[in-house]
Amino acid sequence: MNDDFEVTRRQFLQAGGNAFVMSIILGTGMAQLAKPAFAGQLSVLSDSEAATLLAMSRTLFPHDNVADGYYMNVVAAIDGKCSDAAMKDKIQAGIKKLDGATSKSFAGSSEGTRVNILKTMEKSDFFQTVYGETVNGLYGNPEIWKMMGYEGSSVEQGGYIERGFDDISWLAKS
Amino acid sequence: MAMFEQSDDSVVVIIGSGAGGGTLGNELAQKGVKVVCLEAGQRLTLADIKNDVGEMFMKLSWLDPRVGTGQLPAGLPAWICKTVGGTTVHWAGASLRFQPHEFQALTNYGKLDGANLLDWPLSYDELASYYDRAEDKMGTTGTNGRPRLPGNNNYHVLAAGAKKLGYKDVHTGNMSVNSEDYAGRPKCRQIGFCMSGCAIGAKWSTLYTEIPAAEATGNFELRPDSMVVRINTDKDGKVTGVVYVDGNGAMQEQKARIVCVAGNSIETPRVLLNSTSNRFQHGLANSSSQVGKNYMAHMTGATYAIMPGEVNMHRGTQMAGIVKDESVHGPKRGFVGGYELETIPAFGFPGFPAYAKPGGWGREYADSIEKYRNSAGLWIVGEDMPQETNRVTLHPTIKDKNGMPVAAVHYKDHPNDKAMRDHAWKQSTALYESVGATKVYTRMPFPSTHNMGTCRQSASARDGVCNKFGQTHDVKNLFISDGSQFTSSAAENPTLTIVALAIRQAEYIAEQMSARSI
Repeated sequence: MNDDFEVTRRQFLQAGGNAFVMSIILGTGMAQLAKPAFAGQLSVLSDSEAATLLAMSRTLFPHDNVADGYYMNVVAAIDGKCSDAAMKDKIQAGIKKLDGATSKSFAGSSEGTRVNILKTMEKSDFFQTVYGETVNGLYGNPEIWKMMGYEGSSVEQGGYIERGFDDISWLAKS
Repeated sequence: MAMFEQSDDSVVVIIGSGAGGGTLGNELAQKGVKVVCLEAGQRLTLADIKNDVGEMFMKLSWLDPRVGTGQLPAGLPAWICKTVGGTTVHWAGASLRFQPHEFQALTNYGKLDGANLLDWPLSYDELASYYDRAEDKMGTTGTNGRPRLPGNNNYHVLAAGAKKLGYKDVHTGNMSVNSEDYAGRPKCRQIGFCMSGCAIGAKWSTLYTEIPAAEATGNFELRPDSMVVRINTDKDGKVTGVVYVDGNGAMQEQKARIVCVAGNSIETPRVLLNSTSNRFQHGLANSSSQVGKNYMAHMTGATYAIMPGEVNMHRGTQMAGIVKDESVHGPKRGFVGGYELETIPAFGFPGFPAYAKPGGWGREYADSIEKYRNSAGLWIVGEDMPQETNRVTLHPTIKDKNGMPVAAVHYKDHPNDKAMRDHAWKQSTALYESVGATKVYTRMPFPSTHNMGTCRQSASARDGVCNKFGQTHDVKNLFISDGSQFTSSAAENPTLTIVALAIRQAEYIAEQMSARSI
């Protein structure tokens, strides 16, 4: 295996050359990994760094009815990957940039300010990494599926043939 | 089950066990021809198939390294399978005949700058009876008296919008997904994970139809975990066998009377290009220099819409819904050829947020995700132009774990493809808005699932790789048996045509063998 190619391939997988495929590849097993986590259980990142990431994750996909714990799962997953030195450097540098972009902390800023800061970083490797982790960690969680209306596996329930595959009610069927 | 000696040079070796290879293998075995089928992937059973998009993607997909360039994702240029049954495990089941005019693309569309158009050496009429047989084999709905599938919610949204726009040819399609019990397989239970593999076998796949039927004849041996790296030839330029890597990583050689290549349109040219010799310095069967060229992936794209009420688009047969009106050749629209609109759901979560609007984020987008229940979706599939510069080559430096150069796949839209996609996005946006969509997302293609044209059929040996039976112009006992042989892509999903061609090819091979011509 050619090393340069391996790096390119890894970058693609991490950075989301195609977000759909990335999410599918990285999504496998993510739901199982995402156990409830608390700031005290972080192994690499500090509480304040975690708070910044939490704010970023929530700013990317703000669901007001989704508790912080689900976003903390995302932060915990990123923290877990920071055992890799390159990942740790990237994440900590990105957090520093977020917090340095405003006189307050990033987490303490208004949503409008946070959005504007993130808009300036969209193309960065840091942004793409946290984005990918958020998509997979948040939307890969079966509890979130339920909230959003995705029903998961159906074969063990006999599919939808008797459970509403054609139950649309608001439309005059043609 | 039969077991053949590696030294047995009376067998037909088939590379690949999908729509082309699996069908061809069974058809030959039924006629008493001895077949060794080499498949790179492992053999799964129905019990391995789960309703889990991510898990099945990892289990089924071809994830060996490939390099995509042009507009293809760099690390995954195509989404096709490495498993017994090939991409028939993953396919959605849409089984559409090509239209008569599509077999004469050059004649009907004329010369287009940058397009390497050519007529097929085969007409619709010559293939028609094989389409009948393919449909009967696969239990295709809406053909030969078989009822169509019932429409799911996603279909009803599509159909209502289509009718508002004045479209007439709208129904649940021709699907090789059983609408009633057929050929020992049950009717569809509207499970909704077709493209992750059908857990009950209601969808036709060679994995549990052609392959066991072939094995039952005693004439067919399947060897899974067998990755072919080269095809050997003798001094007369005839094929003598293939070299493959077995499940233990050991190189093996299987002798053969005939070799049929059905590795999908990326692996098929790859193995030909890798089979160089003094006589075939630019790859096997490549005197035309067309091996690997004219790679087609269909003009595709998708449209997702947030509707006023619940749709639950993940419920039910994923692709049982089609609008065919735009599949005609109507150049007044600003492009040649046509396209189909077919229902498609999101690929579960986290697929939906990641791909309804790739890279999307923020409050408005999060609000759309919260309306997932109300989302409807369709896939656009249309004819793309063959271009010599869209091609599969051997990567100059990167090799796989067997030391074989990986496939480099390059693809860029032709202006005709872009014009067609823009039209399809506009029409599908209007379609959903006509029934109350509050938000519409159009998006670029997913990694290609349709791959065609890299070893195309041609009347003249100068213009293509094989004749109208898939027999290569340069090597009499070498056949192309998958979508690689397509001369043009047409607007329709390719599987039915691959199966029809395989049935026809099996007849030809058996005849030629009896006549001792090969």
